[in-house]
Amino acid sequence: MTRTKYSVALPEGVEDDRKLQRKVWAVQRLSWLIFALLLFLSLLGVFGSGGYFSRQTVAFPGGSVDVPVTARWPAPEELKVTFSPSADDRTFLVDARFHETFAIDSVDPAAGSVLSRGGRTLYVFPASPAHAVTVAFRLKTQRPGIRSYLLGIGEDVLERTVVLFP
Amino acid sequence: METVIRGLAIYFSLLVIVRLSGRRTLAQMTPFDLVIILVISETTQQAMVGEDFSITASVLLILTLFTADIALSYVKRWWPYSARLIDGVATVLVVNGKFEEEAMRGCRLERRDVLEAARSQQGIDTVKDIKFAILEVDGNISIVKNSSAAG
Repeated sequence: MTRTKYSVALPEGVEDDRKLQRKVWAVQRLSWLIFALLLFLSLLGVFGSGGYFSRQTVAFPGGSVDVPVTARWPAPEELKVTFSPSADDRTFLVDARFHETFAIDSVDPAAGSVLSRGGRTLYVFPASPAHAVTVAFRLKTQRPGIRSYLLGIGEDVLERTVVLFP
Repeated sequence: METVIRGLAIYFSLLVIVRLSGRRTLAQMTPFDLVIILVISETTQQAMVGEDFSITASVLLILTLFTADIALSYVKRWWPYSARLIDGVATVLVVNGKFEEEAMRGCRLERRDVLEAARSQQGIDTVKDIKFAILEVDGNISIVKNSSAAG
């Protein structure tokens, strides 16, 4: 029988571990709150794959680009480019770092031509004077980490950052 | 390299989450608990394997999991306190016919869980006939009968 603070001796092999157990129970309950917080943040999109904070719309004079801000690796993502009505051909460009961050699985509708200039890739789409046109780039994340890249419409270029969770 | 890292990440993540979720989660297995385990195994399998379905990756993953398990067993052996943290300790739920309410709350157990174990193991129908009810490390509830109990 084991010596104990209980009113009787505990069976052999069973120790009075109430002090440790109280700590463990407290840590468990705290961790359940953290579980709930993580799920709540996930619903908000902090960890990617949908949700308010998972995407951002970047405005340019010639249109806008809806890009992922947080994403997961490896998971499919989407980048949407909306061109304002224009009588000229429209160009969406990304730099080499974009291709290190995302693989482009497909572009819908397909670009009229794809050019490479000064380390940047230009996707040229035909003019549409009457209507705005939305182009969807279906992406696949390449590797986890915090990645920055350039994107732009026409001559206007901005740098964006995406957090890719493993 | 990625296979080993994925395996270790999932192994230790699961270890921490299961431990923090409390022992009751995997001990008293209801049909719904079984569903949770099946879903967890399916989810972790995809996260561990990724897109690499090769035999090499599979063998490496199995080796990773076994090696991690063996290493952890040595850590627990060399540092016994870690075993108590990782595996937990036996929890006394009933002493001399009285429930230890703090322990019952801590382990998220109901009185009926203990009484069910008492009935099935010892044919005891009242808590007064229980000398000790102990939630073991493996999740089972052991019942020690009071010497004064009938039978």
